[in-house]
Amino acid sequence: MNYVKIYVRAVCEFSSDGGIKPLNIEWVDGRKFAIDRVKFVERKPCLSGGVLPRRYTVIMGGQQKYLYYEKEKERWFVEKEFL
Amino acid sequence: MRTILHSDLNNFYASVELLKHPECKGVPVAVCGNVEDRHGIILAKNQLAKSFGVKTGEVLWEAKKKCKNLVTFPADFSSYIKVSEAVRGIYGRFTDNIESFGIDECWLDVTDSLKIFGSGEEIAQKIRTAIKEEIGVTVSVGVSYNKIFAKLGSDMKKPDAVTVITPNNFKQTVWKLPAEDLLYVGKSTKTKLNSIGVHTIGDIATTDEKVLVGLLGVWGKTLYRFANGFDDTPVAGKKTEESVKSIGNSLTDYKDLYNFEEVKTLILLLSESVASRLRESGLGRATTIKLSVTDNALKTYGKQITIDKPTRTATDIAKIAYKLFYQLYKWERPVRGIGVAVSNFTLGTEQLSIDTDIIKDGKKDRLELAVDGIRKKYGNHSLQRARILQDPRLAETDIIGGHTVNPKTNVCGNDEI
Repeated sequence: MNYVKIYVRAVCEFSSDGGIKPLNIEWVDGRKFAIDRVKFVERKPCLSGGVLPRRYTVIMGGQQKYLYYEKEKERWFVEKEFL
Repeated sequence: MRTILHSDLNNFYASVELLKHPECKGVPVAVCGNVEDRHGIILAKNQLAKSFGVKTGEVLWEAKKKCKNLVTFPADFSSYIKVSEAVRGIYGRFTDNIESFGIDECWLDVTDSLKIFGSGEEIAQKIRTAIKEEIGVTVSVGVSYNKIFAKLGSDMKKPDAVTVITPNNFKQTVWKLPAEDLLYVGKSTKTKLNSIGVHTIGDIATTDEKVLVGLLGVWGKTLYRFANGFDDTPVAGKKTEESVKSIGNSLTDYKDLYNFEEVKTLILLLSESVASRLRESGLGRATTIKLSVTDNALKTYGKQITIDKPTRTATDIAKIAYKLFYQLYKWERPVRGIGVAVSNFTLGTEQLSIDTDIIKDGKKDRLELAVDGIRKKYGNHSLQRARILQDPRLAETDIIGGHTVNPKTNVCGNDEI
């Protein structure tokens, strides 16, 4: 199964003791999704390819989703199954 | 008894490329240098490419002949360094005594961590799982009571495995291996050993030490110790690694060089990188400058000189390197590659000679430091010498930001193949 990256706009909060927390993301069609909770942040390989992305396990609309942060380019992406 | 781990990242460059291009899983993959710049040799390959007989070091067209579907990626050293550092971070959770051996291998002395994290094998398994889960590459770990057996252990089972070699089982495991598997046994040593009927590591261990010394000199003694598991070399952790003894850069040009002007440009480019790294290292100034030249028949020449007035500016290093080149090279063949290295550092204190022009020298120094500052802020290509800009292809080469390996603890290398 192949996956593609979809880069998204994100509104984030930078905490005073370091660290970034995404608050909401904007889908390509303009819809906005609030992030209710960040469950954990860890370094995990992603399925769509990339070196050392940071994976945020988040709860959005009652569902658990993965949101990835690419440090070099400072951007966020989600993965979509590619048929 | 110590507990030493040797950890070896499997098919490292190829594995990182697969992280970036997961769609190529299940396809033979190789990483190679830039073909147009004549670095077009296989630097690494995945297991599948290996099964087609693709070998590291062979030229791309040779590899393609063996494996038509071979997918190649150009080397992306900055990613490899990033992953290597992340892996080191994982090692750092278990011990601070880590010695790198190249970009993808490390020795870890975990003797003092056993009480916290469990046995050597348990630590090895934890490291293996953490690297696989967090980074996505696999590692082979050898666990033993000395560095040599640990390294042999990491070569035994690949990929993604842990091998334990104890004083009780080394005769059954290590001694069966061919002599050339032992560290430092190269082609010529192997031939010499074979000539007296020594073929395996066990043969080395059971041969009389005096016979080995007679055959190989001092190395005979070392190999005897290695084979019997008597090696007690410490894992050279951070403190030792900091004592860098030389800083050098070398580069194979994308074309053969036929005249001194072309060589001068390359020397200048290398001197700039060496000088900048020297200034950054805080080792003071260098008193010895070494030049190495490789001709297009791959024969290497070298010459070094110790100067009266220690220096850390690119202009000075380049000037001396030009002189060395004049003395050294007779232009029997065109030049393929050049290397510039400096050593014998003043470590911050130095003797001024009576005729030192402090003001002029200070100016030169400040100028180059300012250049360093600009490059640090805006990138290594932001400010370049006119001479180097004449050759656009060379001007694009980023030596400082390129591939850094520390194959020995006392050498700080930054070589491009």
